[in-house]
Amino acid sequence: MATSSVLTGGRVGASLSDIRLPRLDGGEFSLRDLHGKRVLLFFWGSW
Amino acid sequence: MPGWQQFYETHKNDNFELVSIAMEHTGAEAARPYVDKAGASFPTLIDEHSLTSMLLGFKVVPNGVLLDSEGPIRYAEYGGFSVSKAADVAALERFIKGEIPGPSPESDIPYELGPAEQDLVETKLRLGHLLDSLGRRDEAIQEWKAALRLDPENFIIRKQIWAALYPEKFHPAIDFDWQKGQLEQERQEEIAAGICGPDGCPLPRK
Repeated sequence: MATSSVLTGGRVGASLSDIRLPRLDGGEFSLRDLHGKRVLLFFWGSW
Repeated sequence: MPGWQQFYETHKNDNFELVSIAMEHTGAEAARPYVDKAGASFPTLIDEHSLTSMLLGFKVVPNGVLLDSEGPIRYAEYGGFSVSKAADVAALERFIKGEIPGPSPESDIPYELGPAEQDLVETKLRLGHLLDSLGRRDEAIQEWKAALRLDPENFIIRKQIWAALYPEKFHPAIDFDWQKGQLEQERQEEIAAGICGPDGCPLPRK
């Protein structure tokens, strides 16, 4: 995943190159696979 | 999480996808009970190494980011984003309908690191993960602590250190009262060390 400066990366108007992470149910997820869907990324932690 | 599942059921056929990203330094098993209990049918991703918090620059959770999967971020709320907040759900529903979601809430981010400091924080986090994967946990924790000194309001890093040092406070149950006391104690130490002031942690230099 690309390095980027702190707030710049998450600001409105910024474009994400991709998000690739392992899925809890197995396999790898890529944001690119959603092909133009409207997406909510919801970040959380159990802690 | 149950609230998000309900929301997802309502909107999953509206060209919409909900992607949950769990910032779990100890791995997938920490997230699984919450996902299972909610019967979540949307994907949950496990971010063990804080890749997304580095990419987007957030220091806390819960966060909501709205975007077309191939387009720029249209709305972002860092800290306090919740399915039980009417304003958050309203912005999301406007977005799903193709309308402008509205202005994003002010993010309560106390400072912005300069590019060199940000690089240093990320390098130390990565080095810590590498050391940890080699079984050198004590050295890993030293790197993570060095990252936290540079970025003292970053709760993603702070909780990662806690999870490594005090696993019994996170499993089988999460001791939030302990966290409160521990944070207070660490803040006092940071104030004494000149890293933070009594009103928070402005960085000493920018």
